[in-house]
Order: sequence, then structure tokens, then C-alpha cells
Amino acid sequence: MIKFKKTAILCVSALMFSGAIAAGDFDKEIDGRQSYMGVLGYNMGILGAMAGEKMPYDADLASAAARNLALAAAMNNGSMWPQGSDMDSTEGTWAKADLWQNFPIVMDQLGNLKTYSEALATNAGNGLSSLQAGMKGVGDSCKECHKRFRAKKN
Amino acid sequence: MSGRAGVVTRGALMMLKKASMGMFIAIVIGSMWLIMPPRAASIITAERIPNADSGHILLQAGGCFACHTDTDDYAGGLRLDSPFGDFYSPNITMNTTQGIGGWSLNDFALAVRQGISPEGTFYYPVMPFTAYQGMTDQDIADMWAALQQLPNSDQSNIAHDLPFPFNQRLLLKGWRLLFFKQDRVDPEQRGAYLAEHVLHCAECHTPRNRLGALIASKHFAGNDQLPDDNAAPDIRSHVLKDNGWVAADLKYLFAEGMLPNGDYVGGTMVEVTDYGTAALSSEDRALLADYLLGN
Ligand code: HEC
Ligand code: HEC
Ligand code: HEC
Repeated sequence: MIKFKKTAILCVSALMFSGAIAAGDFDKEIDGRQSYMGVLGYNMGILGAMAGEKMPYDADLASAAARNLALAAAMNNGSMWPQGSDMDSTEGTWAKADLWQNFPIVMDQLGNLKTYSEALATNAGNGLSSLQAGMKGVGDSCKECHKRFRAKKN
Repeated sequence: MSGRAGVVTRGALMMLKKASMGMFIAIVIGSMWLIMPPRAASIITAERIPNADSGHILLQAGGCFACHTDTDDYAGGLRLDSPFGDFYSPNITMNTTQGIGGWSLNDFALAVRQGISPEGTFYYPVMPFTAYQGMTDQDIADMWAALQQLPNSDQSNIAHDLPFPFNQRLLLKGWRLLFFKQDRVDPEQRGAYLAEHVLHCAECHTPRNRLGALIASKHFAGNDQLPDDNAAPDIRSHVLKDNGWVAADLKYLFAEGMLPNGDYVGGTMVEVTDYGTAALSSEDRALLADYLLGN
């Protein structure tokens, strides 16, 4: 119901101003966090392709990607998750409202991501098996959060 | 081996043929129409040497662990919401009062493959016996042996919370008549066997009709009506190929849960990768990948 009202209001204002049509109040934050996730994914994609032996192992490339990941994971991204920017309240996001009800868990998961990414940054350049071993903890941090707090984009 | 489905199965299949004229009437008067199924005297006949190690892997891969565990391993209690109401998985540890400790191997086989309890009542298809119906005698015996080795729990079962008429188990007779098909994949086709009968990918990736049955013509075409905002994408081989998936991507997804672009799966697929496909050998993951890509 609330979602419907909001859409209706947006349609009206779009008619009135016929300029830029805002998808919601949190465009910047949502864009920000999706791009942030994109950076995590980009680096994991490189590391995963090597770990899954789709691509030959390259120690320099692996180290660089893992260091990028660790830097990104250490970034303070708190401002990207404002209250009310969940998928039930606004468009263009796949973050479940449940995320905002469980902030302590989310903080733990972000903490795990940071810890495991740092370990991976130290080890990813030390050979394929060392990279493969280090992927698990990082990947589990991604999955744990996506499992509970993110819906499938479709 | 694949013909040893037992008396109940063949009876049900014959009924299914007979029913084609009056299927609708059958649902309505289903309870009078079918006589109580006989307690199949013996489903697993041949002597087998069970392999509990293989059984542990099958319990993981088949999703038994994921679905029958809330707090204590295999002690049930996990809430499963559905369009028909809330189900709770039961305790399947060897506890003799709360679990299935008093059962025989054949009771277990009948429950898992035919969805029939030792008392002869029908299980809801939320327990995916419709997929497990094709599991081999050996695999069933292996899982049974594995369950014997696990600690037992006296956690009591939670009653399902279903509105009328879905709380009427008798209606399941009509449902089975219409929708319980016994198509068995040859276990030698291991990738297909694992996907269809053990890991039951279709249970989530195939859309369902209004009575909750899978739409066979849309096998693997995706289902965005899953509980908790879960949406299982289209994973038909041509779609996967169009989206650029190659065998190495699928193998890595099955091992670690990563998508080709570095994103990680979410939702219930995490349980499939973490408990299910990750438990398989890498050879089995490769066979599964080949089956999905149609290679
Ligand atoms: C603390 C929770 C959390 C963690 C940890 C996390 N993610 Fe995410 N991720 C999300 C949420 C929530 C979204 C949906 C964001 C939205 O749509 O607003 C998302 C979205 C994404 C997306 C899609 C972005 C887009 O363009 O829509 C990618 C890719 C991604 N995550 C990759 C990763 C990877 C790789 C990791 C681990 C290295 C990771 N994520 C860890 C919560 C998390
Ligand atoms: C999607 C969730 C799900 C999965 C996966 C699943 N089960 Fe079940 N199972 C259930 C539910 C729910 C019931 C209760 C059905 C009912 O009451 O009609 C059940 C019932 C049972 C029963 C009967 C227990 C009793 O007390 O009568 C057995 C035995 C069983 N499952 C074993 C298994 C085995 C073995 C596997 C894996 C091969 C498995 N289940 C996988 C949900 C699941
Ligand atoms: C319990 C339900 C469930 C089962 C069983 C299941 N899946 Fe999934 N699957 C999902 C969901 C939900 C997603 C979307 C995950 C997300 O939200 O990120 C998914 C995603 C996928 C994807 C990613 C597709 C893409 O384009 O992003 C593949 C591939 C896949 N599943 C294959 C399989 C295979 C193979 C099996 C059987 C071995 C299987 N799934 C069993 C629910 C399931």
C-alpha cells in the first residue's frame, strides 16, 4: 500500500516537472553500494577464475586483485545503507528490509569480510593452492550476507 | 534395479492410467476411491552392503541435512513457508520416540521414495519424494546406514500450520494420482541422476501450477514464486550458454557458490551450494555441469 502511494506520488511529480524522473530518495546511496559491490565482484571474478582453473594462475594478478579486495573491504561504507533504502520502500535495489533489522549481524559479516580479505591479500600470490584455500572464507562472507539480506535481481 | 519400485508404485501407476477419464472426480472422492495402500512388505529386497560414508554425502547433497536441521542436526523443526501454509520438518534422528529410530530400512525407503509413512498416511510433497522416487536401493540403504551413526535428538516435532483444506492429508491421494509421476533416470547417467533425483534442482528451478505441482514442459525454466523473495533463474542449457556459462563456471559455482562475474549467490541457493554440491566429489560436480549444459 505504502509502496503504491509512493509510486503514485512519483508519477504525479514526474508529470508536473517532466524533467529528471527520480526513482527514489536514495539513488546516490543505492548506486554507491551497488558500485561498491561491483568492485568486490570484479576482483573476486578474477580470483575465482584462477581458483576454478578457468584461467591460468598468475601470482602478480592474483596479489593485485586480492589487495584491491582487502582495500575495498576495509572501506567505511556505512553511509551507503540509509534507513528506508530497502527494496520494500524504494525502487532499484535488491537489499531486503531485514538487513536494517539485523545491523549487528551485518556488521559482523562486514568484519568477517575484512578479516578474510586481508588474509587473502597476504596469501593469494603464494601459489594456486594458497589462493584456493583463501577463497573460502571471503566467499562465505559474501554468501552469508546475500543469503539473508539480498534478493535475486530479475 | 530401476524396476524395483514396489507394489504401491505399480498400483498407483495403474490407477493413474485408469484415472485419466475421471481425474477431477478422483480428487473429490479420492479418499473413497483408493483403498488404503498396503504396507509394502519389502521394497528393498536384495542383500546390500551399505556404505555409510557415501550415505553421509547423499544426506548432504540431497538437502536432507539443510531441510531437516534447525538447531540440532537432523532433529527437524525448520519452518518452511509455502503458499499452502507453514510446514515444519520432522525429526529424522534415530530417537525412538521423537525420531525414526523404530523404523526399518523399508519404512525409510517407503517414506523417502514414495512419500508414505509406516502407518500408510501420505506425506506432503514439500518433502521432495517426487524427486527421490528415482534414488537407487543402494543409495537409500547408504543414507539409512549414515543416519544410524549420527547422534539422536529427543526434540519433538512441531505440527504444520496449514489452513483448511490443505490440512487434510486425505486430499493428497488425489494430488498423487494427478501429479506423482515415477520417471526414473538411469543411475548410470550420473549427472542427470544427481540433478533430478538427489539434488532435485527442478524443485526450485521449475515453475509450479496452482496445486503446487511442477510444470514438466517448463523444466528448469525458472521460478520467481519461491518463499522469502527467492527467485530461481532459468537454467535451461540454451539460456546458460547464451549467458556465457561454461563448464568451469558451473563447477566453481558448485564448489564455492560464485557466479562467473564474481558475484556470489544468495537466497536458498546458498544451501544448495554449501551443503549440497560442495559435498560432492569434483568428478560429480563436473558431471553435473555437463548435464546442465547438455554436453
Ligand atoms: C553485509 C552484507 C554483504 C556482504 C558481506 C557482501 N554483499 Fe554483495 N550485496 C549485498 C546487498 C544487500 C546487495 C544488494 C544491493 C542493492 O541492490 O542495493 C549486494 C549486491 C551485490 C552485487 C550486485 C551489485 C549490483 O550491481 O546490483 C554484487 C556483484 C555483489 N554484491 C558482490 C559481493 C561480493 C563479491 C562479496 C564478497 C566479497 C559481497 N558482495 C559481500 C550485501 C552484501
Ligand atoms: C524441502 C525440505 C525437505 C527436504 C530437502 C527433505 N525433507 Fe524429509 N521431510 C520434510 C518435511 C516437511 C516432512 C514432513 C512431511 C509431512 O508431514 O507430510 C518430511 C518428512 C520426512 C520423513 C518422515 C519422518 C516422519 O517422522 O514421518 C523422512 C524419513 C524424511 N523426511 C527423510 C528425508 C531424507 C532422507 C531426505 C533427503 C534425501 C529429506 N527428507 C529431504 C522436508 C524435507
Ligand atoms: C532450494 C531451492 C533451489 C534448489 C534446490 C536449487 N536452486 Fe539453483 N538457485 C536457487 C535460487 C533462489 C537462485 C538465485 C540465487 C540468488 O538469489 O542469488 C539459484 C541460482 C542458481 C544458478 C545461478 C543462475 C544465474 O543465472 O545466476 C544456477 C546455475 C543454479 N541455481 C543451478 C542449480 C542447480 C544445478 C541445482 C541442482 C543441483 C540447483 N540450482 C538447485 C534456488 C535453488
